[in-house]
Amino acid sequence: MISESRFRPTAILKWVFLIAVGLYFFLPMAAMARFGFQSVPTALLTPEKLFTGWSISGLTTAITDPRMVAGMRTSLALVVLAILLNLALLVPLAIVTEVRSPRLRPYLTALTLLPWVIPPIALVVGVSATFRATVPWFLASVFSLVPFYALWAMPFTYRALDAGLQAINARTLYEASRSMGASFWTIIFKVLLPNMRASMIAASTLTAAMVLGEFAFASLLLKNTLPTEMVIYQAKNPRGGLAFAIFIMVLTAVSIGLVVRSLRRQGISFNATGI
Amino acid sequence: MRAMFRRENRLGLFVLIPFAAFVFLFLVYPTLVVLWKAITPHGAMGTSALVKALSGTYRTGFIQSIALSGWSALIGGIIGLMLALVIKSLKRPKWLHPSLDSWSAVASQLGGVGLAFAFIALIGTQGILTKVFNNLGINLADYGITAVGFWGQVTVYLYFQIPLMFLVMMPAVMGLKNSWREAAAIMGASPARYWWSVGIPLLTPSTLGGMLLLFINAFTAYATVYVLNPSGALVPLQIRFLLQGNVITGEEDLAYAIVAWVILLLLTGLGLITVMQRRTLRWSSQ
Amino acid sequence: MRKSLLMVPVLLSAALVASCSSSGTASDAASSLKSAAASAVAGAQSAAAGAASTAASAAASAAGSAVATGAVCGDTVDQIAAKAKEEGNVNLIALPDTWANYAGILKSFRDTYGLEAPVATPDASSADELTAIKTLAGQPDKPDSIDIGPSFVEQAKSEGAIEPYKTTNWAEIPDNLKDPAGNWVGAYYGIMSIASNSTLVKNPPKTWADLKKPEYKGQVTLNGDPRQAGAAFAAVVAASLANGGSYDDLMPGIQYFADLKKSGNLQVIDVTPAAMVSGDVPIALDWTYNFPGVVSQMKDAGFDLNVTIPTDGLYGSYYAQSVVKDAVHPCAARLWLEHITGDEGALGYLAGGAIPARYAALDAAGKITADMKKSLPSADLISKITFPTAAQTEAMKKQLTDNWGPMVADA
Repeated sequence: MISESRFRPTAILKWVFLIAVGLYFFLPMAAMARFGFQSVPTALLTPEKLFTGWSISGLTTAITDPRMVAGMRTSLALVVLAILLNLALLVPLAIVTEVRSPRLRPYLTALTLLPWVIPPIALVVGVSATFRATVPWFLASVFSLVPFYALWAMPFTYRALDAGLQAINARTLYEASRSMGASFWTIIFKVLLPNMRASMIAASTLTAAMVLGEFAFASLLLKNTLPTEMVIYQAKNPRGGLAFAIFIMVLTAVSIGLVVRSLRRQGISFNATGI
Repeated sequence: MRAMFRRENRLGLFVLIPFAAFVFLFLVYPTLVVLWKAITPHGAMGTSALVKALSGTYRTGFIQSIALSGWSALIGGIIGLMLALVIKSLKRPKWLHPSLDSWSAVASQLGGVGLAFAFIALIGTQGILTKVFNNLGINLADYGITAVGFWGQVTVYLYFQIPLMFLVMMPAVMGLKNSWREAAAIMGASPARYWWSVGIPLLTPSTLGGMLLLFINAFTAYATVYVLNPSGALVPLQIRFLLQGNVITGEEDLAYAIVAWVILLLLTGLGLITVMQRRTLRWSSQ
Repeated sequence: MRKSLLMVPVLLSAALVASCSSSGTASDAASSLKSAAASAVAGAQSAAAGAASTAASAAASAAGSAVATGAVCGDTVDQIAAKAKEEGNVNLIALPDTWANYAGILKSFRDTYGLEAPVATPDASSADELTAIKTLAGQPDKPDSIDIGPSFVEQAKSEGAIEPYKTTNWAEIPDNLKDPAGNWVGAYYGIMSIASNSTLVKNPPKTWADLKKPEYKGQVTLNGDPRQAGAAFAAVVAASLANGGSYDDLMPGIQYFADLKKSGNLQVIDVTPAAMVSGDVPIALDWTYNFPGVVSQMKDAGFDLNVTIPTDGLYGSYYAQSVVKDAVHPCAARLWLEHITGDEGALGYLAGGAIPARYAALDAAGKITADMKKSLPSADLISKITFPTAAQTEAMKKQLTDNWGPMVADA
């Protein structure tokens, strides 16, 4: 066992680095929170005024704004549907690839990255031209965002599912179960899927974070989701709007944190699942 | 035996076809529509729009976009990788790793008005940090620490680039088993030698792949930069002027041509990532 | 192949809808067939597509075609209001609350006529509005009326997005604020103004020439990029007028901003309400009617706002409102136009800092109080305002697109 004392100076360096990165992430959010919750602008801020003008009224007004509430509901529905569609598309694909033809993995990873290559505006133009002529009611519904969100989350989801399958040595598991006489569906439902729970959860949390932060598609298709409503609200009421933005960010991070923690409790590492 | 495999072949197709159809319907076909429009400006086949899309101010736009995405991918990639390595090596405190996981998941999706304004609120002309340093007699702008300008934009982009790289690199970094390092030490290799011969070659394909991913991610982003510099010569902004504005009309074909070039550029990047991935595959136990 | 399979259920349901609708008129079928074909991608699918969208929109246009002319909606506002009430609602788009006091105007509309009048995507641009009309064709939430920049009117007309309607008070609207055939009306216009955060800027600038002074270094801010935002474009036009340009020549304006950028006076960030309230935008160039909405929040923060109209470069512009063709609620759309050109709408615009189209008529009738006049430019300034023609605007836009990038943005 290598003595830890050899690495003491590097430990300090590591902590300095971590603190620097931590500050980089923390300070802008703190500045935004200060703007959102304290009504004294920086230009007029003096040490005496440091503790005046703080209130959460901006946040409470924002949370109860009817458009915001509607946006939150819509976005939550979109999260659930996008997760379901995404998993429905990719879980079978990941399993089949890993078990049958693992050499296809790089090509599939590339394929799942395709949505990111097309600028949202281009996709919307193409989609409008395509669907307008054939099924106009599709574009009119807010749920037309679901397929696109499912596509947009593919890069994350596929990686997670694929790495999860690799971690459990899916191929070996499959063939071992086969040779012990298990039927195909038994293997899928009793062997592979239960072991993929962690990676599916990891994939879902990333999809959720993505849907709750996605602005470009929704605004281009003229839909009202939480991110678009937030931008509208920020124009009317900058202070409250930005306080709300911080609130949503913290809420999402905490929720994901709880998910990660419960995975850990079960002995599954978030990262072993590929994210 | 053969019957079993035939059934699995059918199942493979049964899974692949709906997926391919889905991707075709919602991604490939609309893209082909746009590409078709790009090569038929004003209704007739021709490359006039494509050529115009690479000249003058649009050429500047491409160069700027590539620079912005490139620098934020490079710097973000390096810092993200270092972050992953550091987190892996630090066992305590226990909450560090999971917290960073959840924060990265959220931060990698951040952008737009909120993020841009957060930086303006911090290091803009009326930023709180600017004010603090002003009171100490230091003008941050003199040191180039502002929210505007090219490096200001890179700084803001790093906010989501670093977490994305962290998320992408963690699996690869976790795959660097500690036992290898110990074995190398037992055989007399210094830590530097270990990294040179084992660590870096193992990580390089994933790292380069990750950086390319960051590049692609940054290239099409526009909401953030519109707040910081709406007049910026950047490709997504220019597309927006032409297709989504309140002033310019009738120039859609030019916009589609720009989009065609963007797609070509990013597909090339995607191709490079695939090549990287195939090299990673060689290392994994297959 | 997949596309034609998709056709089957669509055609079946379309056939069902068609058989239910009372009287799909032949001309409507032909015109929607044509427009569907024009918008289809590769002509191959136009036949099937045309049939599908014809049937899908037959139900909507059956009602629409019957009341395409104002006569059927009514001759007086009350008659139109009654018909609108029957229709039940009006779909509006791209009307932000803080823009020219649309919050107040919408409230008075909703209170007076009892219609919900939802506003979709308040931040949508003019281009987005025309896209929405295309994307939502035949849908119940297609916009009934739009509010677009003047440069988009021609596109709206050629795309067949709008239809003519002359409001009951048409005669009182000045000629330069309406289309002779009734295709659009400019219910309000604003004047390009300089707004200074007078708490931070001790000596607020008053003219375009003032803005060049070194004391305003890093403070002058445009509302977006002129190639994207109407307000920024207008600032360039106004600066051009102040420096020897005209509606036929935008170069002096572009040169002016190039100089401002070089001297460091021009700040590159966007004028957003957040940036105004935080004090990051000490001097903003925007329409007069965009400031009242942010004044109260600035006051909360402890900032005072001083809005001046520069006399050396006076430029005003309107936004054009129209009834959308084949609107889902055609009478309600007409009612909305009546409201915004009528007295209530006009007073609403005045409260928001915009000048209503019928300003002269209202003034003559004594409906404009001295208080309201305080926040507006003087009467003779107002009378000096002219608007460029469509051709002049096109020419200016071309000069802008060709030169703004190299001279200002990328410099």
